[in-house]
Amino acid sequence: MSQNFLDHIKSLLPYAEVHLIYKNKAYAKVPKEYWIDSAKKLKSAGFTLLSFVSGIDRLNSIEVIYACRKPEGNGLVIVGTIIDRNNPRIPSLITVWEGALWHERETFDLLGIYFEGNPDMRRILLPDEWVGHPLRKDYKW
Amino acid sequence: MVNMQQEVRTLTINVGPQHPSTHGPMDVIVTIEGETIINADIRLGYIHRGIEKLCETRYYFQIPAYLSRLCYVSGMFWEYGFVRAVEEIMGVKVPERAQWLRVISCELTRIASHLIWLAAYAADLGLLTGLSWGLRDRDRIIDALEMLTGQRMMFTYMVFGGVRYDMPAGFQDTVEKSLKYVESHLPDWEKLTIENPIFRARTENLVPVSASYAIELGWTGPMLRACGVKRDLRRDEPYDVYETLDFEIPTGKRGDTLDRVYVRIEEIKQSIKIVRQAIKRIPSGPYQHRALLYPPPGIGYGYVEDSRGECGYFVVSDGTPRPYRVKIRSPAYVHVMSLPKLIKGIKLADLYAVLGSFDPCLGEIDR
Repeated sequence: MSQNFLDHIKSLLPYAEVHLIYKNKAYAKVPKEYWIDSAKKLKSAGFTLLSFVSGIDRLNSIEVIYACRKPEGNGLVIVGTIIDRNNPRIPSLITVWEGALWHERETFDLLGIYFEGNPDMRRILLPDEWVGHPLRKDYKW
Repeated sequence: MVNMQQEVRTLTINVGPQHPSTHGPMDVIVTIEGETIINADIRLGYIHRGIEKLCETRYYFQIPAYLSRLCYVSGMFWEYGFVRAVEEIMGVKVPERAQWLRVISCELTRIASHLIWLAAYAADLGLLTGLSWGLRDRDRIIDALEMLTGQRMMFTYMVFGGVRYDMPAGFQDTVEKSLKYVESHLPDWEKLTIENPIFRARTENLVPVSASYAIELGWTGPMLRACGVKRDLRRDEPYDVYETLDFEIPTGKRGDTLDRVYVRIEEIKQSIKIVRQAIKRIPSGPYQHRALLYPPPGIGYGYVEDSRGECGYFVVSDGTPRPYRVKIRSPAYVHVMSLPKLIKGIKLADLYAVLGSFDPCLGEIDR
């Protein structure tokens, strides 16, 4: 069952390194160029419910992730890509999921990742005049 | 025919941050023209405590105590999601009695959370009777939870590999009494809300959302079920012993505000059914694993069906006693995101009916 799921994701995203986190939860690492393409492929394969968009500060790079699920039945895919830490820019998922709007705003606010194409790149949880992005590992507090 | 050149006057007003219908400090900035909302924006962050950052600086076993503060009316789920994510990285099999105790405590919390929502929502619509009824009924459930966990709100009941305390003697009777009490008032609740013509007039056909649009927005939980999608993580991606339990998933038809009320009242009934089954079937045995300190390097995603939707934790562990990154996926955040778009074109007085029906819990939205 889990193996079938893994093979299914591998055939959907041939350019990705895929491994299982747990039963029916897969993690796929894709190159940056395929960020939007992976989202479109997964959405058309039934993973239509966007769970979240976020990021991880890896000290010498930044990893952007999104997770999507099947609204009927079982299965979760987390897709991640590595981007430059000094100029973290990535195309916005808003063209694929309308619901990405605030997830990307939050990621911008807390990690400083700029989503190109998102119409509303303002801070959301912190005040507008805040300096810095708190979830970066070198943030002084 | 009279041709009148009218001056169009718009007015921008703040609904919040201190407003009873926002259920917490949230600012809805609406631009109105006459009484019609033509534009809206939301300002958040009034109670942002930086819990995600805080988690990175604490030991694993300290963290659940912070997380029950995420949503002060359904704290149990928020501890539970994190504990599940960490257990997934550890690869722990939770003892069966602990799984049943988790189901009982979570379903009791769901009843309490829906009741306090009903209370607050009734008050939003001017039904102050509902406010006192909701608090009265919820109190009995909280009494049962207090007996189990020693706390009335911030439970800190979930630990890695089980639960903190076993069931005390006489717990079954207390739960049964509480459930009977709540159940005896549910017909009154229905008369007060979904069968009440005044209540219906204010909520029926207000901001209907189609199933496909709700999925596009990322809605989960009762909000999605009200749109007619039979989606419940307890049934679709079962965890613990939910597979073996018998319960229904109530769904709405039109996805309007009335359906959201209907679905939540039905969910209270289903939760009562689940707790009754669980209390009968709970096996004896150990209720926690000992000596679990921290997980090996890896990633985990723990989810539970919260009273608002999918509560999820994405945890990255680097093998140290503190997590490297904790991402909290809050369902109410996603629901509130769609609010500015949905309320365009409705009357200002209807805003409170819509906003309340989203069940915004600012603790989890702001984090």
